[in-house]
Formats: sequence, C-alpha cells, structure tokens
Amino acid sequence: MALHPSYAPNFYSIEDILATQERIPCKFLGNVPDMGHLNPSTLEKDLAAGTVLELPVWLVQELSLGRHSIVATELPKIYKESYREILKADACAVDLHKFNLYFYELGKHIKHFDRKGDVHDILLHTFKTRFRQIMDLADHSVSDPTVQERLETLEARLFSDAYDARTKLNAWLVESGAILEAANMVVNHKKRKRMNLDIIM
Amino acid sequence: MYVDDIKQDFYEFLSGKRIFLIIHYDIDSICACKILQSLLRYKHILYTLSVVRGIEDLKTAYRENCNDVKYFVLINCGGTVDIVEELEAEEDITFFILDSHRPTDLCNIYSNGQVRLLSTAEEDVAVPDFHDVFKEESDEEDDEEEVDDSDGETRAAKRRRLGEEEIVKRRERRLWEDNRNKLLFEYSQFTYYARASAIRIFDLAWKLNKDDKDLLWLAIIALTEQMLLGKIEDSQYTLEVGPLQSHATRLHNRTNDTDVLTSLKITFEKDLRLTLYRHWSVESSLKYSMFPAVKMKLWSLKGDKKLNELLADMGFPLIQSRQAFKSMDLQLRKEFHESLEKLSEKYGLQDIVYASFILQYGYRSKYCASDIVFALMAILESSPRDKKPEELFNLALDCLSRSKKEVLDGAIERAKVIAKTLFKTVQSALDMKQIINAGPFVYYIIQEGCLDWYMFSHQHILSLLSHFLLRAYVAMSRNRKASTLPLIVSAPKNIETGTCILLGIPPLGENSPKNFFGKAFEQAAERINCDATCDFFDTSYFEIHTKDRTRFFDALTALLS
Amino acid sequence: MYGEKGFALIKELSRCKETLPPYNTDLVNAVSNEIKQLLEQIKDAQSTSDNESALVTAGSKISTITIAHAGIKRNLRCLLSYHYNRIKCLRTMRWEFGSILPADIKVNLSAEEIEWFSKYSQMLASYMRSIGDEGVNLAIDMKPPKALYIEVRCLVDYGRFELTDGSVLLLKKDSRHYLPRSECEELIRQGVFQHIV
Repeated sequence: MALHPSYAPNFYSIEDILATQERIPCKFLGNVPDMGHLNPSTLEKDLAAGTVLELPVWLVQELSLGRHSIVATELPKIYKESYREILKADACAVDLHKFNLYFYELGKHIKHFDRKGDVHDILLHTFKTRFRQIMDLADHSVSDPTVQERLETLEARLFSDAYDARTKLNAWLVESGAILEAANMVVNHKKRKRMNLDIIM
Repeated sequence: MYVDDIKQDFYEFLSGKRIFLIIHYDIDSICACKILQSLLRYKHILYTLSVVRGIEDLKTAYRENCNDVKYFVLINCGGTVDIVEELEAEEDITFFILDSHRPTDLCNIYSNGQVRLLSTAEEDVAVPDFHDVFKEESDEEDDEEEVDDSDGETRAAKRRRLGEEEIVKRRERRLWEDNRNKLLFEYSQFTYYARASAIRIFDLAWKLNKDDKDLLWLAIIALTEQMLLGKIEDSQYTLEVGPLQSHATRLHNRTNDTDVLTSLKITFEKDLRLTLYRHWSVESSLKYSMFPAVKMKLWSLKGDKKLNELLADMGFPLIQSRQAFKSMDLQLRKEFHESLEKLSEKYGLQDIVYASFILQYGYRSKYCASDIVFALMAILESSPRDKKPEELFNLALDCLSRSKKEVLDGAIERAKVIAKTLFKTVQSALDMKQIINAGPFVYYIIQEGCLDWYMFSHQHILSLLSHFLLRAYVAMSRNRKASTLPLIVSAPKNIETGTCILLGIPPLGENSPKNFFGKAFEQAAERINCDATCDFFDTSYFEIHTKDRTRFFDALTALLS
Repeated sequence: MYGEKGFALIKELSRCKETLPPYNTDLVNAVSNEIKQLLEQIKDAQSTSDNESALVTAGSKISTITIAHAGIKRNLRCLLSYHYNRIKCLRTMRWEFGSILPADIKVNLSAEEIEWFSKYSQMLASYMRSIGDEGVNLAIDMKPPKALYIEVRCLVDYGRFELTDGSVLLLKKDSRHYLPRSECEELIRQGVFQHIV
C-alpha cells in the first residue's frame, strides 16, 4: 500500500510541511459540532453544513479522502482551467514564483482532488517545458538574481544545485584541482558575526 | 659572503629546511618572490612569507619568528644595512639576501657565512678591499706582544725606539683610517640599483631547468619596472633585454600541449612609450603619458593644439581616437604604431619606440609588460586606504596569475586614474610655478589637501611624479642650468604624526640613476639635529616632520652649494 | 486554526538555513499544550456521544474527532520535524566546526541538544580510533589531494601553531605559508586559512 500522501516525500521534510500549510477552499457537507471556532466569521458553537472555508491542505486531506468526506473541495485558482491555459500556452513565460512558492509540491497534493487528472498533466507539462530553460540558465547565467526570482522552490533548488555544479566543474577545468575551502557553516557563521557587528556599530 | 653556486649552496642547501621569506613591498620583489615560490614548491621546502615596508617591519618580522625558523631569505631588503648588527641576530641564524639596492653593506659582503649574498660579486662595483676597511684585532695584539718581547735593549733606547715605532704606527694607522674613510665615503656616496632580483632568481630557475613562460614573464615585468621608474640606465636595460629575448625564443620553441590550448605567447616587440594605450583611448594615452607630454608640452594650450595636429597628421578622426583602443577601426589600430613612428621626428618624439615584451593568451588578452607594471603599482599604492599592505601584496600576487583576469582589469582602470592625476599635478605645478629653485637643487612640495595628495605618499608613484616633474621643469625652464639641477619632491606621509616623505632624484643632465641624496639627507638631518626616521631601504627616500621641512631644506642648500 | 504554532516552529527553521535559531522552548511547550487540549476535546466528544447514543449526532461527532485528530497529527509532525532537523544541522556542525562549537552557537542549543552533541562527538571519536591500528581521522582529506603540500594564507591572528613534527609556526593575519596539506586541512575548514592556488 502506498504511503499516505502527506508522508511523501518525507515525514520530516520542512518543505512539505510548508507546502501543506497552503489553503484551499472547501465546503462543509455536514454539521460539525464544537468546531465553530474554525470559522472566524461566526460565534456559533457548531460549524454549520454548507459553510465555505479555506482550510490548509493537511486538514483537507484528512477530511475529504476516505469513505466519509466531510468537505467538498474546490481547486485553488492557480490549478484551475484558466491558469492551466496560461501554462499550456507558454510555461516558460510564467512567473511561477508569483503563482505559488510551492507550485509542484502543492500540486502533488492537489491532484488527488482532481478526478479528471488535468492537474497531473499540467504539472508534468510545466516542469518538462521549464526544465530545459532552468538548465540553460544554470549553465550560462552569471548568477543573475532576477532569474531566480521567477522560479518556485523546487526549481530554485534545481537551479542553484546545477549552478554550483557548473561553477565547480569550471573551476576544476581551469584550475584542475579541488580547492580546499572553509566549511559552509563556518563561512556563514562568520558573515553573520560581521553583520551583527555592523548593526552594533 | 657571496654564494658562488646559487644552485648548490642556496637551493639544494635549503631542501628539507624550513625557511622564512621576507619580501620587500615593491614590484621587483613580488616578481622574484613568485618565481622563488614556484621553485621552492618543487622541493617541498616549507616556507612562511611575510612582506615588509621598511627596516622596522623587518625587525618585527625577524623578532617574531627567529625562535622558530633558522633560515631567513630576504628579497630586496637588508642588503644595504649590516643585517646581523641591525637585527641583533644570534649565531645560529643564517641570512640569504638577494637585494637589488646598492651599495651593499661591507659587513654583509665580508661576513663569515652568516650572511650569504645571492647576487654576484660583479654587481657590486668598486668594493673596497677587506684589509683596507677591517683591521683584524689579532694583528694589533701581535704587535703589542712583539714590543713586549724586545728585551736586550736599554730602557732609553727602548723608549726611543718605542716612541719611533709608536709614531710610525700611529701615522700608519692614521693614514689607514683616512684611506678607510675615503674609501667608505666613495663606496657609499651613491645609492643605485643593480640587476633586478627577479632576473637573478629566473636565472636560477633556468639553471634548474624549471623555467617556463610564466616565470620569464615575471622577470620581464621586474626589468620593465626598473626601467619605467628610472632605477637603471637605458643602456643597462638594453643589455638585460638581450638574454631575456633569447629566453623567450627558446621557451617559445619548447611548446607543449597546454601552450597550444591557451596559446600563451611572449613576443619581443617594439613598443611605444605610452601608458596603457591598449586599454585606453589613443588620445588619453598620448596626453597622459610622460614621454609625449614632456616632448610636446601637452600641459599648455599650445601643446593641446599640437596633439590634435598630430592626430590629424596621422589621419585619426577625433571620434576614433577618443574611443577605447580595442573598439577602434581595425585599419587604424593596425596603422597606429607605424604612423606615430613615422611622424615622431616632426613632433620631436624621437625615441618613442623602445624594445619591450608582450604577453598574449587566449583571444582577447594581450598585455604589454608596462601595462602590468602600472597595474601592480595601482594595486600596491592606490587602493583604498583602509587596506593593509599584506592584503594588497596578496592582491598583487593574484594579479600576476593569469586566472585572475578581473583583478588585473580592475587595476588597469585605477592605473589610468593615477596617470591622469600625475599629469594634472605636473600641470598645476607648472602653471602655479610651484617648482622652486633653491640654488643647488629645485624642489616641489605637495601640500596636504592638494588634488589626490595621498596618492603620492607612496614610493613608486612619488618616484614617477618626480621624474615627470623634473623633465617637465627642464623642458619649460629658461634657466640653461636647469638640466644640471637635481629635484626633491616632498609629500605628506602621515597626517596624524605630521610627517612628510622626501624623494631626491639626480639631475637630468647626468643621465645616470646614481643618487647622492641618501647621504645628503642624512647629513642635513644631523646638522639641524632633527628627529628623522629613515625607515626606507632605498635611502633616496627620507621621512621628516613637516614642521622641520623648511630648516631641513636650508641645511641641504648649505650642504650642497 | 490548529497547527499554527507548530507551523511557526517550522517556519523559523526554514528561515535560517545552515544555522540554528535559538531553541524555542515557549513555542514547543505551546504546541504540546495544544496537543493535550485536542486530546481532551476528543475525549469529550467520545464521552458525549456515548451518553447521548443518538446516531444522528454521532455521525457528526466523528467529523469533530477527525478534525481534532488531524490537528494532533499535524502538531506532532511539526514537533518531530523541528527536533529532527535541528539535530541534523547539529551533526553537520560537528563535521564542519569540529568538536568544539563556537560559544554563540552553543547558547542557541537546548540542554538535550548539547548532550546529544557531546555524545555524538564521543562516538565519532571512538569510531575513528577503532579503524586500523592507529585510527584514522575521517575529517581530513574530504577532497582527493592533488599535492602533498599547499600554499595557504592566514585569515586571522591565530597565534602559535605546532606542526606534527614539533616545529612551531607563528600564524599572523595575512601571512602566507607553504605547508603539508594534512596540517592545514582542518584549519582551512575552520576558516583560519585560505587555500591559494
């Protein structure tokens, strides 16, 4: 049996926890006693059927998947038809960062609410189209900050990994030797110290 | 003591030992140091490297490390002082000294192996004989014993004889001392520069068969620096260029695979005495270089017109000559050299062509030796003032490695600023008639708060300025004796302690870089009894308190007239 | 909404990559309190549904329990992830800083974390001692060496430093040294030296 979706890819994954905090619109199908406080717009004790709330993904997964769905979900607008059309037209031109920071991560959870499989398709399509562009940028851009601004989290990580690898390869080709470096954490630690000093001064 | 076989007695000798390298803060030293480093690596000789600016730094570096290291290698420092005496060195410490400053201290030359000079004996001219300068103490004792032993004579006779002997001996001694002082004075009267240390070390690399183009290039830079800063005579430059040229040809023929890839090439070419023109525009380079500026008096309105005339004659449209040399029309770029040479006679620019070397690698990088010298100078002396000399030294080493092109390019940009500032300073000095004739010499004082004054508190740039000034002064002066006058330039050194730096250069007419100011400064300071610190290895630089300056100049005038 | 506080913990971690923010005792306690409170709620729901035994309401009580249960699971996940990721970072620090942590990092740790760190260091040390006859220092030669000797530049005034052969070196800021690679590697990782090529 496959793992429960919220456990993928990793129970401890910080990114997954962050992504599952995103909210999606839901409609309650039945009354829920004692949960009125979930709806900030009423003071009633119970949560009435038909209330529409934006709930975080981790909660919606528990409530909608299973035999007794408590809520009916709607797709977030970025995965809806109109946005899908934009992505189909030219995924590379889109500022995914503005769509959602965790476009793919969130999409992986969202696609379970979409029975037609359109979300699944558009995720694949978007990634495939944009991947080439990311690799291209990583190989050739001279760390242009504006490039990274248009990437969502997964892409940004791919980009920075690829960029690092490329710089290392170049350094190796030129210097033909691995330079010993101070450990990352030590460098960051020092920078932070200096920053703190600057603030004090 | 001179090291006879530098390979055996220096290089092989040091293998397996830990050494301490002390490098003077100048371009020749940096080049020599870089060559030496690569040689030390072949033998895995462990070293620690430290850079010094003056005798005080040298002492500190020595004091901090003398307990841990027994072998010190000094480059371009320490040769002109009695190093053992100066550092109060213990017996078990050995110094290897490679110093292009002259004259070498006699104690170092006649040392019994504690001080070993890496330069050759031929480079020290007119060294007094050992016995003319040093009297061995044992001789004297022998003499006394002889006197005591003579028994058989009468007292009176003895006394008489003794008296006679004494007189003769005293006379001999006095003569000897007079002779000694005379010899010493003659020997130490002038300060000058011998062969660049980097060339000497390159020779060692060649003997070890470990030379390559990169090392040769360093030697070339060192030589070019000596020429540009007027440290050596033109004839000496020509003499030194010869062997380097044959090295270049030899190494070019010894190509290997990596050379083909990067197409690293050192070519021996005729070049123009223009500052950085490959990285600047033709007009700026012509205007701000010392050579054409002095010949055409470019600081004046007339000179400006003349420059435009020259450009017109050469067939260079202003638009073209004002844009970066790299982006000029290919045709003009190719013709530039030739057309300037052709017109040189008409505009009094004879000798604008000189022999130099060009380094080429990749498709875009082409540097003339003088480009690198100016870039290094910019790094060493016109970086932001909060940088420490050690940092700049490290940066200069980076600048010399081909993989750090951005460092070099940045430095070249700053070198242009230096060239402009030099020109403007000279221009204002002439316009305001600030070069003052004091009788036996002329002097110019850079006031604090004057345009970029802080730039001139460093040795190299101050030296460039002084040569520029003196030439400009001679070109403009109506005084027929102008070319026989030496020049002293003074600039603020340290505002907090209120000191200023002085540099004296010999008259233009003598056409020789031998400099008598070292001794003169010393004596003048003694006369007025002022608190002077001479921390420089090149004694033609001097540091005094600004308040003492007027008195000091008076004393100098009295001394020299 | 449930899980907000747990999420805040995770957010805090995600903001400081490769470093540790101060251990947030208050928030950790708040999250465990929330878990307790949710457990109470579930118990209440159970007891009331038992009492009333009305099937209609029982159905909707299940949804209350589901929501509360999801909240517990979420909070648990955040708490575990918070601790797990901090420990992971701490482990990396052992390799990068060595067995002694800088004081300003140490103040950010909880007592348990400090204990974990020293235990981990001990285990690592005894493991390294156990390899071969004389033990192997696993923290050096992280990259394949190209040469046995390297040139380094000293970045701080470190003071005197003794080499394994007994000779002593004065490490002054901006001085350059040519030394056996094995002697330098740790100092390079600690940022005392800079490797020059």
